[in-house]
Amino acid sequence: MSVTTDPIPSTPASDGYTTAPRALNIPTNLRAPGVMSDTSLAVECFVGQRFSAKLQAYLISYNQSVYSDHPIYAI
Amino acid sequence: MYIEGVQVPFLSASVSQVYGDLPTATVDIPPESSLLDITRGYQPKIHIVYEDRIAGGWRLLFWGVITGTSYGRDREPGSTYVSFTCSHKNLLVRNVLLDYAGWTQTDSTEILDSENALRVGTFNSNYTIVEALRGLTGMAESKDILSASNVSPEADTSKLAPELKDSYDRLIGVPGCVVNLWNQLKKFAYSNGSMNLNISSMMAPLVEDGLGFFRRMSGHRSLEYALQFSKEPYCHERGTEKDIIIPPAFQNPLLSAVKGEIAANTIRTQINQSGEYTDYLTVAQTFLNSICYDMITLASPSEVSMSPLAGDALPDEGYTGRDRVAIETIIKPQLPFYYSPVCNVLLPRMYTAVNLQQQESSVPTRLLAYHSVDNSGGANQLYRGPHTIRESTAYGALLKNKGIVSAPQVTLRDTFSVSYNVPGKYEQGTGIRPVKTSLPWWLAAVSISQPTNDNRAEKVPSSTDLAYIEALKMAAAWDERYSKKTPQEPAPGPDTRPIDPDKQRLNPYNLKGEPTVDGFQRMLIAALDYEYAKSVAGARSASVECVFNPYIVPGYPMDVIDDSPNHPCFHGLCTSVTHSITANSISTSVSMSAVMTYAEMSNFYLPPVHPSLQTTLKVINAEVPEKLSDTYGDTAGLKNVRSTILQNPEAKAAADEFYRSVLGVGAAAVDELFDFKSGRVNGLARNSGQLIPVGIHQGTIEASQKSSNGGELNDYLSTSGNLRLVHRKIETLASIKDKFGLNFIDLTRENYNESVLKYIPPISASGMMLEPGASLYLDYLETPDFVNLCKKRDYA
Repeated sequence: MSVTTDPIPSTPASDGYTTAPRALNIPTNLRAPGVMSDTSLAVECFVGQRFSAKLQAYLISYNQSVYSDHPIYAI
Repeated sequence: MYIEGVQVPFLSASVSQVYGDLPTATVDIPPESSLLDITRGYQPKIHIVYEDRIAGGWRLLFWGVITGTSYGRDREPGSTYVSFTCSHKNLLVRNVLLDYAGWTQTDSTEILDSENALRVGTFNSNYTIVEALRGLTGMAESKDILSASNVSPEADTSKLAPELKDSYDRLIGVPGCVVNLWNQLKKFAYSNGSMNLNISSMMAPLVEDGLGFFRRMSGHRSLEYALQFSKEPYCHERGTEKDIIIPPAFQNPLLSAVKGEIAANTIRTQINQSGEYTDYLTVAQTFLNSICYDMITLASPSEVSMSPLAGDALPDEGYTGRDRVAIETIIKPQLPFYYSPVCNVLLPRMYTAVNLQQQESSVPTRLLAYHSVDNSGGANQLYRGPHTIRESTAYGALLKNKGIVSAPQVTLRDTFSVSYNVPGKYEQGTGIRPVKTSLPWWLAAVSISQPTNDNRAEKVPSSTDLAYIEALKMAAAWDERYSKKTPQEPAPGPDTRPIDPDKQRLNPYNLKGEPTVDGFQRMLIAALDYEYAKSVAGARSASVECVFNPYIVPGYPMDVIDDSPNHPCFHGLCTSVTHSITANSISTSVSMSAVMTYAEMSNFYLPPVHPSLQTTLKVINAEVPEKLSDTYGDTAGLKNVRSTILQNPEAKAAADEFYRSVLGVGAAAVDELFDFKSGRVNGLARNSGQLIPVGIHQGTIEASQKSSNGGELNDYLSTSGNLRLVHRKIETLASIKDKFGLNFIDLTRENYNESVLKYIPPISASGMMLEPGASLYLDYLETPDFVNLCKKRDYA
């Protein structure tokens, strides 16, 4: 799962529209090894009933949004 | 509450368990529009836990998957919501589609030679069912291991996989039939090379490892042990003889040779009649229902001793992790009127309101079952219950044929004929309210399967068989209840009324003298009386509003105790439990059916369990002399005959053992909760999962003991004390982390520090347009890569 501190670029989509993806904010303490899941592979998340790291990232960011003064918005 | 292992806030949650269904939950969380995407193409996992102040630690209230989302917005402020609908994680077992295992493809009427192992029968063939009834016969050896790379034609589906070794004692008996069905499905799937990728790489690992379905399953060992070691030979018409489990519903000491045939034919008939099957879980549940068993799933699994053996019980206080196992799925017989487990007792300070509905006018006075019987007695016989109705029918026959003489000779066979409209004894006060019912399907199968040769003829047990003693006990118990005339003014004190030989002739368990009816007809009469008891109790239902109580289990009997002598206590079957949690409140609502007051239990006889279980569970018991009478069927030597769950220490001890191995608590005896002599409740203490009566004074406010800070020390007189008395150990979050290798992220300041990293979701950052069905939060392998990965893993 790639994380960054750089600004988020906008990207042209295949049909010509420009998308501006929402960035998720992950506290650094949660990026310590063994805290978040280490996989988002579909077969492992379904068959092995592991947690999806990508969905965890979204929910962590959602938590921050709920408890912040400025809730994030989705596009 | 955790979604995908991340603790998230919630506005409200409701967890519901209904008898006969998987647990469900609904949670409302603070809205955000992109939340609606998380359930697209994926079912996120959800865990709801609570802090248990009695047993300590965070314990499981619900473990499921999110199956649906709803979103609502009203322009009124604060009225936007996102709500997730969730089902228990075992819902995923329904993904094991029989069609994708190839298990429905052959002709459903085909009966296969049992020794042609690669041609495993279709799931509803006689072979499959008979094989399933073998249950488990031991641990798998190398030839029995079922994997995609190793399927031997000689693989025995009654052998348990090595990784389930610790569960063997919990899976013997009827639960083994469920495991055997699973093994048969796998064996068939793996023997057909083109179809097994779904099973070998997805469904089998999901069910066995991801969900831990069989590791977290148990039967009631004390009962299943008896079934496991009383298997009987069954000879398939074209196959070899196999020893099969005879489920309790088909057990009867009066029928021996045809029990296996009844069991196999009945299950097959029921499965065939129940419509199209698509998944393994439905097949297993239908199989169990056809033999009067349930598969119940606990939203809050019990944490019990690894070994279910008697004497291996763990004390109430503390034990090490290695000794524990979580029981989530229980395979149990249907027991609506049996003892309650301790965790299903609602003591006076655990509930705030109780409402009972009693539709007495809908209670029939007689049940009629009309059945075409192919025997020498002629066709089209009518069976009636309860006993007083059969008695009136017999006297009606006498009236017509012989007139009433000073010593009328009625027989059981007379009870099958026309009734001549003679009311039953208790219909004299109500008139006749008949209800026609259909016979239990297995009895229809009994009459159809009348054997044509003497070797398989029905026969009564030999006087040297254990079954003979069981039959004598049942006959003696019936005589105690029905074979004595009731005087207008009963005398107080012990019952010294003599047995009336005329009434005794109507005893369906009576083995003395020439038999007047066939063995299967006796079974039918016993079953009909049980159905009548269910119809009487079924007219009552109740609901109870309680404090938050995670311990109560639907599907088992329960008790509601009122400490006021002016108000009744109740015993019934717990049918649903719903926990409602909001920011301001938390409570539990319980529904009951088949409700009886304690007064009714002491004044009326309702058979507490199915007739076949009455001796197995020692509900019917008696002191048997060392030397029985030489007269076959003579019960005169039996003493202290008991047949209810009141004042029955032997049955109570059996019930303690019945519950201990799966729920970690013993049974609650009505006569220990309530003192019938004084009409007052007993105070209670707890020891090793059992309730110990400590006298009626301890149940009164006068027995209050205050601690130095004013808290109540008498557990009977406080809410937390009541919960302490009835609690059971529930699976901890720590145990789930340990057993499944999961880590949960709590919503704490330590975890959510100020320094953050930005994560850019690659899908939304790219220009890709996804196919519907894809999830934004999963990575997918291309199909060739997936197939290669599976082949490498499964076929190495």
